[in-house]
Amino acid sequence: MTKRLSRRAFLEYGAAAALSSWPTALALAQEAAASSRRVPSKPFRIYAITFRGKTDVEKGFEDYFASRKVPVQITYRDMNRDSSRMPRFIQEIRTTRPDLIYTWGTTVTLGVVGPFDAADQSEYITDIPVVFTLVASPTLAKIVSEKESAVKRKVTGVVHVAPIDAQIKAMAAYRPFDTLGVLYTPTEQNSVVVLDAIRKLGRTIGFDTVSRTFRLDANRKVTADGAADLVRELKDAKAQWLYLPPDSFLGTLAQDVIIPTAMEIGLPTFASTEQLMQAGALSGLVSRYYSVGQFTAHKAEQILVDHVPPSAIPIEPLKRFSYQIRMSAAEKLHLPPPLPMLGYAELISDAPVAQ
Amino acid sequence: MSPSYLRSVYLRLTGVLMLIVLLALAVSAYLSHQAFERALVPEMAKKVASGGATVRSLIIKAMEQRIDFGKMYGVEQSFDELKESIREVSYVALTDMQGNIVYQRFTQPRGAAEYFHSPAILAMTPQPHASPLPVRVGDQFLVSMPIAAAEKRVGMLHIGIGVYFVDRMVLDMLYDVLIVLVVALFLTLELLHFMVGSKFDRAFRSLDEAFERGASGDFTSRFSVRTDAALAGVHKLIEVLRARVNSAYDALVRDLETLKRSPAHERPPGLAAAQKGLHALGPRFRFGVDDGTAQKDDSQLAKVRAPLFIFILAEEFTRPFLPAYIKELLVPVPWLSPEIVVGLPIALFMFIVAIAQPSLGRYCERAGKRRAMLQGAAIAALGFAGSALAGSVLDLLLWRSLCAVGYALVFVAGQAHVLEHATTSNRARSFSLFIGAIMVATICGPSIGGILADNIGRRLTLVVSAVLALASIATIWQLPEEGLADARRAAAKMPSLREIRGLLLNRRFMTVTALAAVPAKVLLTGMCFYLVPLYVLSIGSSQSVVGRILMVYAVAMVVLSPIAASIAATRDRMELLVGVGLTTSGLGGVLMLFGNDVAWVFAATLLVGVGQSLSISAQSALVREHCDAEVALMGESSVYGVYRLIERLGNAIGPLIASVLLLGFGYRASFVTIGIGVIVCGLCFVIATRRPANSALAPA
Repeated sequence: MTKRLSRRAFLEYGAAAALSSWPTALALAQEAAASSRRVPSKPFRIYAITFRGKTDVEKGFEDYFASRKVPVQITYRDMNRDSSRMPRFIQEIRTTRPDLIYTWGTTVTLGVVGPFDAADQSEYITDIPVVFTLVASPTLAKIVSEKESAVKRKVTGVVHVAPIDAQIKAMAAYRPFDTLGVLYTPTEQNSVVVLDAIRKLGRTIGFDTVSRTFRLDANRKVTADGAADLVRELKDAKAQWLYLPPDSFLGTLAQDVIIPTAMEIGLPTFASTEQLMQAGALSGLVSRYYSVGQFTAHKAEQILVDHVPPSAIPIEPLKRFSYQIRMSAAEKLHLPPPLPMLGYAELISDAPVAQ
Repeated sequence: MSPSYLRSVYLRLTGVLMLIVLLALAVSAYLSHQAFERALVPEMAKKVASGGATVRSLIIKAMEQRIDFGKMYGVEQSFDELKESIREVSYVALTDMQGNIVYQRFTQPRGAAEYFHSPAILAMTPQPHASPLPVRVGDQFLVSMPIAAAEKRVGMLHIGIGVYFVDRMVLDMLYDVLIVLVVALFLTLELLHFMVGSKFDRAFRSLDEAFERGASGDFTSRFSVRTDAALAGVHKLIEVLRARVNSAYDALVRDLETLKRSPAHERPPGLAAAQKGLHALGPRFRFGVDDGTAQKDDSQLAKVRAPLFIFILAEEFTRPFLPAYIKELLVPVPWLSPEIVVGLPIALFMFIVAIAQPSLGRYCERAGKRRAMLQGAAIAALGFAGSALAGSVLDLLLWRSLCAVGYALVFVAGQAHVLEHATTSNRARSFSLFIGAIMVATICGPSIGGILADNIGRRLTLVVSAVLALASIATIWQLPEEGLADARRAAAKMPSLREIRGLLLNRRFMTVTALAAVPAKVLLTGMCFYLVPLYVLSIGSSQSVVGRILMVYAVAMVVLSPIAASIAATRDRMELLVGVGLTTSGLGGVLMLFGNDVAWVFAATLLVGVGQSLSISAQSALVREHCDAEVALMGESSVYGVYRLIERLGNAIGPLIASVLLLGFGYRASFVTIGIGVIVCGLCFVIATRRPANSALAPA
């Protein structure tokens, strides 16, 4: 049995990471604005591929260039969750030869640059710099090699998930817990790694982890069947929180199945991404999409204006994350946020946003 | 005249001054307490109210989010945060509209519940801009603030401040005043010594000498007697007397000569007898004029004290704040953790002082002591100025190295100056003069340095140190230009590598050096110069407090060292003193096991000071006792040279050991570990010296 987590110990760690949202990109922008720059009159051509239409990320991306007075001409293409559209985009990129490619999410990014260890690189873009955004783990997705120096990468970008220890500590700052429940897709490597990290952390700071995986059908394809039961099973296994990892399949079920079930049985949910937060989770330590967009644009600017090679630009998350709390969920669960948290958290009062 | 006469005058003077100072302090404490309470309580209430406003705004925010007043979560946590930001807070409570306590934390003052229900409090209207007045309830001042969301009052926040906070502030101020006064006292005595004391000393001494010469029949007159000196009138009288005796003698000689030259028949009958008498006077008395060249001028000895004092004061200023200053300038250094980097400049300083001394000793024999001191002070002044402007820990290392070279040079040259002007009879007294200047500086320096650093900042305090080093140049200028006279003194012999190796393998030598001298120094620099300044600041105290703590160490040394030295008469006693001293000082470190506040650091440092004062003189005397064969073989200076070198290397490794411990175990465990290490060394020393018969048989 593990000892009860001290709220105080968590706060010391978690609050530091969890403080309010997005000043990083702006600060970077102001700092860079001071330096003299060579901005050409001809706009840079950026080819942007989104996964499910335009989001706040693109808004932040565009606003950054506008505030920095960097002329850009962005061509948007939407994959609309349909991978079959990718070859057409690749073809278009090859004919139009943009200055930079912007890719939203893991699927789109992999479709453009391919796994770094792919045997046949001919179907991917290798000669135009790529800036990705909203990728939870670029190394696990094989977008870049773990051994950075081994392969000279042509891509850089922004990771949108906060470090796992900061998330766990932020969760405990809201309510201390002994047992954490995690629901994930067994076929998503990213989620498996996150779960391992959580278990390891649990052993050092003292909490139990219970987990359930989504079921697989006869073709070993993940299915939504029985997802609500899995949430209930976690509650029965004494989970005091339900952690929602950056899991793509979970993302598709969060708003309609998982979070409503959790609310029904009084299990608080903690989101790892703003998307899951928008799906109705109680709280989460997330990167604001708008800030992620700004930070992505900052990296693009370094490539376009300052001619820094992508391999010299770090792939990293934001320096600060937003602690979001959905007040309607808090009220329904009778779990008001701790008083000090009201001073720094972003309180969301609206209903879940339709995805 | 005995030198103890002046000392007794000083001591009486000190006693009277201390008495006046203490009386003045008591009166000032009484008067200022009342004034403080009047002025401070409203100020404190304002401070508390601004902290309380943060809590209040959080509660209002919670109300706006429709969280029930009675069902708020983490309220106590907010109270804890309030106390963290305002240490004087001793009670926080949240009451509802009826005055019932809904949340509370810390110590409730007596009568609080009645007070919260009193009509005056219940009728208090929400006025967010009005600064609430503190009301005394029990042993606390309570500041009450209504909480209103959307103009509707929901309850009240009450914050209590213990009435003793005024006492603590007055006490803290008194400590500073006391420190300044004690320091002023020492400075005054030091100045008295220079300005009046040495003059009187010289005057009495020459009067003494005049009488002695008179008593021994020397009536030669001196032209060197200064007419502006103290007791000039007495001197003049003596001189007149001498002149009369001399002129009477001259007249006698002249008369006898005249008579001798006169024809024989005119000579008076008693001439032969008179001449015989005159010859007999010769061996018994001396008449005429004495050029005085043969006399050694004792006053030159005292002149070195002023520059030494000022110079060492400059370095001692830095003690309480240097580690924190290094921390402020920290930059990442590959492969080194910040704790170790903080220890580096201190260790480097000690290392340079240790290894540079032998070669600087030879240099100052060549270049002359005055010149060497001038150069040393100038180098150190440059080092202090550079340290004040340092951009990072890396260039600070360079500046501190300059300070170290300067320090070593001035130290060596000052020591050589004392040696040169001392005679065999007053050598011990001369060295106590040299050590005295250093000790007074170690008492005054850290405490003033700490107060300065707190008030004008660390960089400006370093500027003050630079100015002091420059000022010492002005006083060094007053020292006499040496002739070539010093050339006849053989330069200190450097121990050869073979001799060093021989001593390092010598068990008896290493017993004293490795088990006593080095641990003592590691404790001093590791604990007092590294851990104490960092730890005291880390628990929220000030650099003035660090200065006071280090002063306690120096005071213990000054008061107890002479007593311990007088006890250390036999070898057995010396060994006992060293063992007891080491164990006592080690216990100082172990003391931190029992508590973590400033008082414990005070006590720990005091114990270290007491322990070291017991062992310090005995342990260096023991080197001679233990190694008489080596002393006979290599000479005392070589043996002591190696001893001092190793001892000073202990100074250099102290901060490094402490920083590694700090990195691994945190502050308190580091104090304790060093303490235990020293105790173990002390016990080993006692065991090793227990069997003198065996150790005599041990191979050298």
